[in-house]
Amino acid sequence: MSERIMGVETEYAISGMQGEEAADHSTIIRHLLDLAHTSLPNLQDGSSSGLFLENGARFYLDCGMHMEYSTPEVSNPWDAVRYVEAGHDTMLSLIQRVGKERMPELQTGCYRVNVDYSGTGSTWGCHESYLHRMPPADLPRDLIPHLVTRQIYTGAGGFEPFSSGLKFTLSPRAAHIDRTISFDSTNARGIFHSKNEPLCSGYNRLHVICGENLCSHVAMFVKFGATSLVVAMAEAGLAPGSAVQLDSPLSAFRTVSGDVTLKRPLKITGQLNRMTAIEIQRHYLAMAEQHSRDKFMPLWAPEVCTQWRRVLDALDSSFDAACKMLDWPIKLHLFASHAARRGMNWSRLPLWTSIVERLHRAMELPMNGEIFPLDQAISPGTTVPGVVLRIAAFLHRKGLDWDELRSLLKLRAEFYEIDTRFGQLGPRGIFQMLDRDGVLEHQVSGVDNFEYATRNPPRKSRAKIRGAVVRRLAGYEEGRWVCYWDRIFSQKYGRMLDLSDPFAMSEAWCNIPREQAF
Amino acid sequence: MRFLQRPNDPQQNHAGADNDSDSGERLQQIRAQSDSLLAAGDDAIQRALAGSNSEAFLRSTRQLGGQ
Repeated sequence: MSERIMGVETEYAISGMQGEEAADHSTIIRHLLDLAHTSLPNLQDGSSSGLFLENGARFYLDCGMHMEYSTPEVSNPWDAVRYVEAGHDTMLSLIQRVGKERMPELQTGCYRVNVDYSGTGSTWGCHESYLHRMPPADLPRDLIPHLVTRQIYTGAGGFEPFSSGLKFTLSPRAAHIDRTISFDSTNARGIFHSKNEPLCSGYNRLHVICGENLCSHVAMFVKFGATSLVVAMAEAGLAPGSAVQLDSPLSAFRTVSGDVTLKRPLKITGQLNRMTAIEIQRHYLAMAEQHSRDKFMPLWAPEVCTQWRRVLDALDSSFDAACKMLDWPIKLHLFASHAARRGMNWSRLPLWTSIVERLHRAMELPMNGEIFPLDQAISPGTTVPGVVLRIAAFLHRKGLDWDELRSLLKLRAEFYEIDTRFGQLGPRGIFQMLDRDGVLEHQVSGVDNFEYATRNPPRKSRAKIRGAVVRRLAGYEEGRWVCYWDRIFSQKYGRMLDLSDPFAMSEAWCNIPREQAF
Repeated sequence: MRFLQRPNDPQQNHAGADNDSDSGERLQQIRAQSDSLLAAGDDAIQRALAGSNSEAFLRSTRQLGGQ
């Protein structure tokens, strides 16, 4: 197939503060859902308390009490980014209304963020879906090397959430990925998610759970575009990953997420030479460029290749270009600058982190990211005197003292807040402020019309029909019509709209037995 | 910023290429853009953190379970 279908799920963090007190989440969520139900044209979501919107998207409360927005099915990476942004606009509008109309005493916020730094060990996901027609069991070979190495542009940047120090990582969510392949998506998460839930007929669905919420448009565009092309090449039988099989994918995943130099080589099965993440991405890109005008490729393949190359070239040459383009280099730049302003030596961060983690392990405390009790650890009554003495001697030789570590640990929460506020929706978001100031170069031509996309579906998928029908039936006998991804039906009227064809472009209604259970 | 520079970074490769005026101009341009990003970033961080208690803020965004 030359047409592709993809979609994106975004999970949002929200906050409500009254002074320095956190408000009850469930009350905020209740108001937010109520406002969505009463102010957005919608049909009831048959599989949750959520709703389907007039742009074909699904908006609902997910496990963990967070709001989630699934874009409508889209057919190109421009629309993928556009409808992600439309979701942000919808969320922002609702949370602002909660603050203004329902809980005026609160200062509310909404965040596209990836990990919870408060010690819960939770993460917010940004999952991608790609329809395909190849045997699902053949996909890991072609996808895993891509998913491991694409972190160099899909990494959101941030801090390792389980570290007791302050450890910068390209991909903070990588800490939550602990196996190569998994069926589960909420625990024991894999680089490759093997669940195949097509929600349509005639296709399989690749569901990617190791990605992250991003702010940069070009990062999102290449993430969706490049992954689509890798799936298309795999489907065409080109076996794009066969020459770059990683010896230890999980170890490589961690290596890439922790390597800001992008220089660390990865061991390739059956090869003497090792390859860097950029080299492996260039392998996939070269194959995509070679086949970009083949019949099995989507029409937009050449433009994706151009943007893919632009990103890799930026990472491979002048790092300053990437610092204005991609999430993790922008954050790294800002964090280092902020550290200097706060009198912190950023280059010594890895050393202090390794010291505090060593103490942490010696004291056998749980690695959950909570504040490390440094003063207790190095007090005369310490439970690990030998370790403390050895570290103290090392610090003395280096001309360092515990005060620097003490200062670093005090600033840890501030850096975590900066990371969270980087992706805050609205005018107080750091990324949004930088974008408004015109100092970033992350845009992709043609990624626009977000406000329009909040109310109108994309043109080339069944979402166009779903959106039109939602608009037509919204508010008509509340609760009589129920919507799923692949159908809309009414028991009362014995009518069903079949949306099982993901490329359906016209409405196919049929009668159903009134007693038929769904 | 030096900690971000890598061996093939043009800022290093072209450090002594005074006769290459195009590269020099480009280098100046890159440095000016980088400086403006950092200045804007520092300002944005100050505004984002204004009046905030970081630990209380992190507690308020806490996820209750699930993902």
